Amino acid sequence: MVKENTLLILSGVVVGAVMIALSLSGNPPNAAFCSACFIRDAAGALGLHKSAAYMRPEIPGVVIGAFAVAKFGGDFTARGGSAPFTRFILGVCVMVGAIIFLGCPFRMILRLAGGDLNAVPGFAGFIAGSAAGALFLRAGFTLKRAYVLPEAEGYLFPAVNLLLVILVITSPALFFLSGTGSAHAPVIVSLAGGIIIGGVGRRMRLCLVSGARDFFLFRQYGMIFCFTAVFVTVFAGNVAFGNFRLGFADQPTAHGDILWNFLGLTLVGFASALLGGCPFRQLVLAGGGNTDSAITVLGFVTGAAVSHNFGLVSTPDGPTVAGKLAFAVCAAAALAVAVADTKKTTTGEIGA
Amino acid sequence: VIENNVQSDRSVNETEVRGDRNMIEIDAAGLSCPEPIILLKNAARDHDEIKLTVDNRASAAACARFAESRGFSAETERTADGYALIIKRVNQ
Repeated sequence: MVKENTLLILSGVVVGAVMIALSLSGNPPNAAFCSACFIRDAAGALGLHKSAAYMRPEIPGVVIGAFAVAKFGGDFTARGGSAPFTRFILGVCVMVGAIIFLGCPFRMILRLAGGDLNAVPGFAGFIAGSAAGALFLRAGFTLKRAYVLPEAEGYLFPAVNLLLVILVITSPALFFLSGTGSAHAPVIVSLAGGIIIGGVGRRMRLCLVSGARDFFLFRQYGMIFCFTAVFVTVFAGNVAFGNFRLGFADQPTAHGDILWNFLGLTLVGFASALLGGCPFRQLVLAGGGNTDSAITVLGFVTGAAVSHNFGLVSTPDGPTVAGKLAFAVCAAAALAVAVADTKKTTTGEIGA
Repeated sequence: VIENNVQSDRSVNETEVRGDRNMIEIDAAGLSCPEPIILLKNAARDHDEIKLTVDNRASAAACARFAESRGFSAETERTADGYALIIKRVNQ
């Protein structure tokens, strides 16, 4: 247990160091890595919406890093069939929540480490949402079993990501580049950073929602130690390189609406807990052959495209009316899923 | 002799005497995190020996870690379809 926690803290330092490198190499401020923003940028690069476009190599990098560790560690299995469309919808919900807050839970840590106090209510919301999801899990929530699938099924998602990497290296002009997407590290640095955090993430099962959830359910602290290490490392890097700015006002890609920062990440935490992992974890699982997670990632992509095409994205002044309405719909959907799929069970009955 | 309970048969569970080496088998293959641990946690209340099947390394490691933190020993064995854990209460 002590050894495991030490490894988790070391992993956090490694991930934090990668964040500092990505940030210094040109990624957007307080967004060295963000599953939600970068998937949003990738969706834009594919032409699915008209703003903030760049085929961020970090995203396929995470998938490929996770794939390599799973494959060469003998831990790769093609698996799926656990309520795929429910997972797709929950993926959309996660993305809408992240778009209202302006960042995934990973970016929440980076925003905190950069001194952005608007992320504090977001952090509280994420904890609250994860805790609410944990309550449903304890009460018997389940999306039922996934099953072993033909092996080729598991290779497809990593293969698609490899293709995207090859295209972004050989034919960058294929993809659109605009908005916040234009702030980025060199392709090779982004790719290497993604591969490292994907590999470490797979090996150590890094997941923000499990940090909060496992504390509530089992009083386990390992993942909290890990992301505290990420926070401390990035904080130290920001101070050392003059990128730390404490306050609420004029923070990069952020807004100051306390309630909606809270609610946005509450939805992310809740839906992620139901999915069994945060957005980063979904990418890692998909790289390891879990096609339910691949479907979830497609839910993120769809959520991002819908959010940008229908004006759901928060502005520096706060959330939009359309964003608030979408939040209500998504929160209701996630809650309905939670209630519908919670069955009071005794040991061993789940998924039978 | 190890008593092998039917998983969902509460009537059997209710007649068990605590402290017996009563055993239960749980098939948690294919379930998302953290459902295998929740099933294990529930089973650990009433049983001294638990045979747990999971289908991925993350769940196997997480369940073994949880068991060890709650006064059980955990032996993990690789099977054709995943992992089989034999979890036994250590401190009576």
